[in-house]
Amino acid sequence: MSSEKPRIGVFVCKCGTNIAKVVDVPAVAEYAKTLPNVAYAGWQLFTCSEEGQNIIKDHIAKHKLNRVIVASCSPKLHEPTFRRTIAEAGLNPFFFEMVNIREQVSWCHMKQKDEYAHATQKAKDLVRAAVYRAALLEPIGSTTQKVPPVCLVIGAGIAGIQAATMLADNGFDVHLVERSPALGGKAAQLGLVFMTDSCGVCVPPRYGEMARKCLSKRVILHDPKIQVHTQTEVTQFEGYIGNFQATLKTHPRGVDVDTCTLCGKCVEACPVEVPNELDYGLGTRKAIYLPFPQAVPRAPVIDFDTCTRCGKCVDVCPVKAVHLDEKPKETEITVGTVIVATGFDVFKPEGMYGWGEYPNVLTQFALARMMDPLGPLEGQLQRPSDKQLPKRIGMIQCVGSRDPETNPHCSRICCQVAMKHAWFIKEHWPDTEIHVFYKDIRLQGKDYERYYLECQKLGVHFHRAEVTDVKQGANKSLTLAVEHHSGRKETVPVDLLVLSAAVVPSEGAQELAHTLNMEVDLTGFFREYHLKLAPVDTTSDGIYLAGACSSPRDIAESSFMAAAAASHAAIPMSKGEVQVDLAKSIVDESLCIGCANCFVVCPYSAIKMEGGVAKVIEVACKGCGICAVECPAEAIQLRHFRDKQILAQISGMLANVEVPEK
Amino acid sequence: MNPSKASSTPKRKRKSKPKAKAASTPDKLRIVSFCCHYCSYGAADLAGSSKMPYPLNVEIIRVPCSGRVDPLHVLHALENGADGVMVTGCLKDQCHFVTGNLHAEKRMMKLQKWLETIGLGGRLEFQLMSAGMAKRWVETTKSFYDRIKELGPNPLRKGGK
Ligand SMILES: Cc1cc2nc3c(=O)[nH]c(=O)nc-3n(C[C@H](O)[C@H](O)[C@H](O)COP(=O)(O)OP(=O)(O)OC[C@H]3O[C@@H](n4cnc5c(N)ncnc54)[C@H](O)[C@@H]3O)c2cc1C
Ligand code: SF4
Ligand code: SF4
Repeated sequence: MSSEKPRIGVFVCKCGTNIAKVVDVPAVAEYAKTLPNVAYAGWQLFTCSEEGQNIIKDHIAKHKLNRVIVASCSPKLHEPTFRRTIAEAGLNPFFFEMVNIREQVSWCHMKQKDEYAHATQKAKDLVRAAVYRAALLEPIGSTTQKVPPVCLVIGAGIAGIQAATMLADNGFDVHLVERSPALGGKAAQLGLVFMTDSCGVCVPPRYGEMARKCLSKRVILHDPKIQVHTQTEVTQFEGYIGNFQATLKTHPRGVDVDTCTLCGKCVEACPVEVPNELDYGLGTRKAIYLPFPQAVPRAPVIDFDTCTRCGKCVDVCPVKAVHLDEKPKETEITVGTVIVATGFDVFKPEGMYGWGEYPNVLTQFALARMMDPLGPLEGQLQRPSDKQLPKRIGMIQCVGSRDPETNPHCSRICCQVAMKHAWFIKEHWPDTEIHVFYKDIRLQGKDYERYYLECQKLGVHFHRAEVTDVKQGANKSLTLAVEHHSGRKETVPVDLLVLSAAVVPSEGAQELAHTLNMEVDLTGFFREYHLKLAPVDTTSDGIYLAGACSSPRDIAESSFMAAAAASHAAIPMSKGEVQVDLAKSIVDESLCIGCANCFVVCPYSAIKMEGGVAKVIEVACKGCGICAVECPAEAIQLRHFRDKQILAQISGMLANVEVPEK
Repeated sequence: MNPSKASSTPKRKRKSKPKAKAASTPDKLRIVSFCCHYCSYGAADLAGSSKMPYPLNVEIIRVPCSGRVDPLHVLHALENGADGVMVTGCLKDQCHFVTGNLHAEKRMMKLQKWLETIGLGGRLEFQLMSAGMAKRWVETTKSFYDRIKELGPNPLRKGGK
């Protein structure tokens, strides 16, 4: 703790009229002058402006200030700004305290017009609390943490692949972990995709290459910088930026990828046939199977849940690549940074519009599989019930989206997906009649409007209407009860009904958030650190987000985001180190009685017991302060939020409340 | 809770500060709210940026996590005349610090019971909310203020009952 006498400067901000309209700002500044240890107090129009910051620096020099308080907006916004300002003036950045008189005084009380005097009083109370606290602040330094040039990318959809290849091109090593047996995520299963109307597994050209490539040309598998782990999940995870330790559990594939020649004899020989989960009941697969024709890695995989271990595949394999006794494998890796790219799932519209009950009700995803030339039906459009070409198709938008009962969010891509499918069907089967039932059409991407115009030109019928009921007739055709937004009601018969089902967080997202200590938002998608200013960062340093795991996104957006995440992850890895401030817990070893209470409660394993006393691992400590409350000896304290600092703030806040002297 | 800790708190500087006293408004109820940086502080900020009014009597102390709030801090506020104290944190399973809110909940539940036995029952409120739940922040502060109004000023306060 610094021993020099505190000389506090208080800078009260008008924020134009944002604060000044409600709070008597000059009166607060005048009042601050009367408080203990205050060497200067004044007000400004915009403290965060360049000019405002220079004024702070000038006053630090002029009045020899050693503590600075700014009473303005939320510290969530400008605390880092002002810490930098005072550091530029030569003060330790932790000699700074911020008072929030905008969000928490002027703005929230703006409508309480008769109580503006009270609001000014409240601002004074908060400033006084800060002055008491500021007197007890201490300078806090930082330490250096090495960051090795290795990144763990979780999820190998388009986003994970893009991020992994960018990092590899930049010279970093990558562990690419994918839960399923094949790379590519959803995009690899969609057939043709907007905006390019090309195959979804095209990957962009690598550095120095001229042409884009197909994922199945093994670009990734042959990159010495990228280690691909399919059928793998992260089961344990701990550590901090520069030193994350992950345990990867790899389930057995049963087929050796390197020796397999993909002759397909094993698949032919397998007697077990089950529905293919990828194809939503449209097709079947064997217990040993290639997930989809262009799947990478290029080798079949055994589904050990349905495999009967008859051994027929082992017998027919000419290169002895099949191993029924392969065991799960655990690998431990240490990485400097992590990119999470676990994508999304399609909402299962259970109990809605006859889905799961009537065979001719599908999701857009199943329709995409059906129309994929490499899909289970080789691109044929047909009704599942009788394999006939449907003459009338209905599409219902916003199924499980923008609906308080299921998911409140807009899934952002479904309008575009419906347009793509409607256009494609009209082009290939022009006699088909298509009816789209929508709440609003929202086409947000570059040039998306073109799809809408094409659909209108080709005679797709758009109805702003609710479908209130779906009934199945004798031939498994469907009758939709439709209520137009204009109030008109009618019934519309269709042969096939396609639901534009919502984009929801991928299965296991909650658990993964827990494992990695990330936050999820109310929709269940991973939360960005700051939606506007740090959209690929998370609240955990060194962990970044890419693709549809944080919000519904199309391929183009997932791809930008992956590039952004890769470049963010590259920053600490290229520097090779990060500075970590030491506003962390600290143990006074002379007071510690070795009870290990702190060790037990720390959620980050940031405390170790050594020689009978607790020691804090500073880079691992996140500064929550849970430990400090448990310590019976007052031996462990959280710097910057020490007991005495918090108590002083309380005393200051309530100093104008009269309590009989003890 | 550690009584020896409570007595080691810094001396109140009331005596040295007659001016602060002059500006006092003893007629107003005072509520100290501890808000965690990641969630409830964000909810209060959002209430502000959405111009959603709530009682002016609520004044916030920012802590990194609700798990940083020591029962001692709550007692110190009551001892200094706060009429009510709120401790607010992130939603269950959404604590930025994993388990901080659970520790806070346990500690505050215990303290609430203890406060009843010394005649300060009902003056401590514990609530969880996400940073997006400005509405919950407003509702919580309003209903707690109403309760404190009913209870009247802190008996430890001059003029309290
Ligand atoms: C019917 C439909 C049609 C579409 N058509 C188009 C189109 O034409 N054009 C377009 O731009 N977009 C389209 N999209 C959107 C497109 O699918 C997404 O933009 C894209 O797939 C997002 O890529 P991603 O890598 O973020 O996620 P995903 O494709 O979901 O990939 C995520 C990967 O992570 C893996 N994973 C998940 N959890 C874990 C875990 N815990 N551990 C390890 N791995 C994990 C998954 O197995 C998957 O391989 C369509 C979407 C749908 C539903
Ligand atoms: S403040 Fe204490 S409990 Fe929290 S992370 Fe640091 S050492 Fe662990
Ligand atoms: S809780 Fe306190 S006394 Fe116990 S081990 Fe931790 S620092 Fe030492």
